[in-house]
Amino acid sequence: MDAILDFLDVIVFVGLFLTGYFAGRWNERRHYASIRRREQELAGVLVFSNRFPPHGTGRVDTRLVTGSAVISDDYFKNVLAGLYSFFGGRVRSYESLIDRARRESVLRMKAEANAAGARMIINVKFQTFAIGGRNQNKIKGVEVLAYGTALGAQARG
Amino acid sequence: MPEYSNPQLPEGVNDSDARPLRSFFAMAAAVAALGASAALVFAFLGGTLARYLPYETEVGLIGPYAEKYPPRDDPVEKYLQGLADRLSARMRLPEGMKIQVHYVDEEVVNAFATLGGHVAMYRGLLEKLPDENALAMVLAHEVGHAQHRHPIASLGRGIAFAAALSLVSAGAGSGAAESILGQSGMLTLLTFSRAQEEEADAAGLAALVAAYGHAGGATETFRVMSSAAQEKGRAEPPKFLSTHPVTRERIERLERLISQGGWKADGGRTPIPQAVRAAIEQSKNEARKPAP
Repeated sequence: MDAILDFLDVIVFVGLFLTGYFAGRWNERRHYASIRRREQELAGVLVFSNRFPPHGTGRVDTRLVTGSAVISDDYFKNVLAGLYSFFGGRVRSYESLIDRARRESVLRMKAEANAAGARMIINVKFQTFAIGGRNQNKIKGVEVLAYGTALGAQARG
Repeated sequence: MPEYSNPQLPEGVNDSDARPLRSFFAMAAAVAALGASAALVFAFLGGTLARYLPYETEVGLIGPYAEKYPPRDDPVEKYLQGLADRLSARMRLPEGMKIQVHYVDEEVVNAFATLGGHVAMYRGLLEKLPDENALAMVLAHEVGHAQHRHPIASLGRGIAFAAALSLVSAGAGSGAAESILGQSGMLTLLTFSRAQEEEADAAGLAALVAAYGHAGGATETFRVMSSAAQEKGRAEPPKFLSTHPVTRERIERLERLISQGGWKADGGRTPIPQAVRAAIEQSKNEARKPAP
């Protein structure tokens, strides 16, 4: 019993570490599978950064579409990021968080446009927000907000 | 309207951590190696440089603790102090160093030297020693540590070691790691190295010979410790022994020193005075009595 108390810190650390590793990996794999499937499904909704519609577009319905996603890190990624930041170079464990958040937010925005019958979104921009800030002890998360102007069907008359 | 399309973007550009566990172990091993080498360098520097601290600084460090244990009006402690004074007069102590012996009325088979020339002698060990010569060897050995300023060197080593470890573990950003390493850092804080033990043995032996004219009792001390270890079973050796060089090698080393010095290996032994023996017995019985 005493031994457990003596090494409580270590046990908690190993527990968080393993949970982070297995749960985080499983979640990420599932999320990526879902992202790839939906990207195929919504490939028909085109995304542009141009501020104006392509030439030849007549009068169309426009509407603001947004999609936002918050992706959190896990304890394992956090420890690994600490090591990466010690040695420098790419913080590889956090790359996938940003990647997932960006793609997920675009997908949600596309889904909104798709539901409204739009096939094209122009003037797409991103906003990001770091949740948890610079505090070492907090689990970090990243929010990505994608927004743009969906062009609807050609307006009549 | 022209035909537009969005290309399929390549996968994996922003998800490059295909084998995170391998990266983790590689980096953790590198951090551990860095930490270990930094700790060794720090510990070496700490241990080497601490000896150059002025003796007054060392006394100042232990001051607040030493105040709690002033010299007592106890026949055993007075006897031990007198013996230590006689021995230390024959040793070249650093300037201003004053040895103060504390008698600790506990079963532990141990004796130790700490900062500021303080030496502690436990009843458990004192009872097991056959005569004054053997006791003098133990005391002279501990005074030898003080003479060579081992306690401050050991403290410096321990503190520098802990500092190095805390640097590395803070870099890795993990509080848990820091606390594990902190515990092992504390352990080294309290031990003397083997070389230091041998140095103290040599100093103690020389003082013993100078005081009694022969080296009788020098090796017995360690036989007593060894048999005490066997009585208790190998699983629990006395603390004094566990940090000290292996007994047999140590005895052989002392015997070699005695023959090299051309000293008499043995001679007339001085018993521990009857009054002191009685005082030890008395304090032991008092300790056994249940508290009222």
